Amino acid sequence: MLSWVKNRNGTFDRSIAFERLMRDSYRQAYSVAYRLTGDSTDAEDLVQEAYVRAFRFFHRYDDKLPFSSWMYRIIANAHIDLIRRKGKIKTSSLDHSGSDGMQAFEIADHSNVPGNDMINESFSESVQGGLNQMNPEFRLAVVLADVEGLSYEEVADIMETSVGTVRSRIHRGRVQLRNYLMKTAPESYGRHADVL
Amino acid sequence: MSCNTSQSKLSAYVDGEMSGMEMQSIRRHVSHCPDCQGEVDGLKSVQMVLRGLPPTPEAPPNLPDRITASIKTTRRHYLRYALVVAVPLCAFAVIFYPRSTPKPTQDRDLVIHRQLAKDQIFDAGTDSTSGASLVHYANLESR
Repeated sequence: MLSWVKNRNGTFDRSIAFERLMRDSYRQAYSVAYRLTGDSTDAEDLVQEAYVRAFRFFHRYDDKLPFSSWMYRIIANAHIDLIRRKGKIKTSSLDHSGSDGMQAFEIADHSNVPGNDMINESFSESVQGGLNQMNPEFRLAVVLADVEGLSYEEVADIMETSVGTVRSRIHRGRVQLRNYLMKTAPESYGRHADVL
Repeated sequence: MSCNTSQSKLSAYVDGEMSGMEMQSIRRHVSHCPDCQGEVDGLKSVQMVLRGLPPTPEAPPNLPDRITASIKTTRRHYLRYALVVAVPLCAFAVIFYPRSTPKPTQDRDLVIHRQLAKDQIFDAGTDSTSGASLVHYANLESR
């Protein structure tokens, strides 16, 4: 509840309320933005743009709902707009096949780099690379469900779609990521798969 | 259940995001279908990889200040934009607003009523409201 955020006159102070919520939530917002963009500069731009939008529409925010969920929705929309504006939608399907029927990605396989720490770091880069290659809607659904740990219903609310659509996007996103990792970092991925 | 129908539900099954009846149905199917069992294992491993990702880099500590500055800049921009729109609108309103507006009906009735009362005094030599003779008023004024 934001009713405690009042100025000297006893009236609700919108700017103070927003700033407090922003300072409490910006780290989480940045983390999601980083997973969506795969780049720290782009993540900063995205977070900044999302909060400017959030402030503009703050009068529509229902404080009975978590502010972070509301922010996720704005970040998701701002992300789509940002990549459209930059003309960066190169959402080549991860299932895309080359002329020889093999998958046509030319990405270095870091999985043979010696040393466990290096493998972990390079493997996480491969995972981020797989996320970056995904369709933005699949990526958002996968990041929210698997990285942020939200339920399908929460993801559906943020993406303003049905639970059935979320279910399909998460499944397709995971399958694409698995195929990508099997192609680009088979040894590291194989080790994780063997743990099961 | 055919494999085609279960494929799209396997992620939800892995996440436990379906009803108990559906879970049981898919569990039964997976236990008899090596392909779907392999698919479930693959989905679980992807899920484990994503959950095990190292934390993202820390957000820059000055990011909130930059956001606040950006909001202020945007507000100034909107204010300037609003002024650009509002000033011509006000000028238009001042130029074209009718200069002589008719007085409200109630005021107009009051004026007519008073004028009639004066006429009555003039005509009859009596106060229209009290009926007193104007001589009475003349005496009061002379004191």
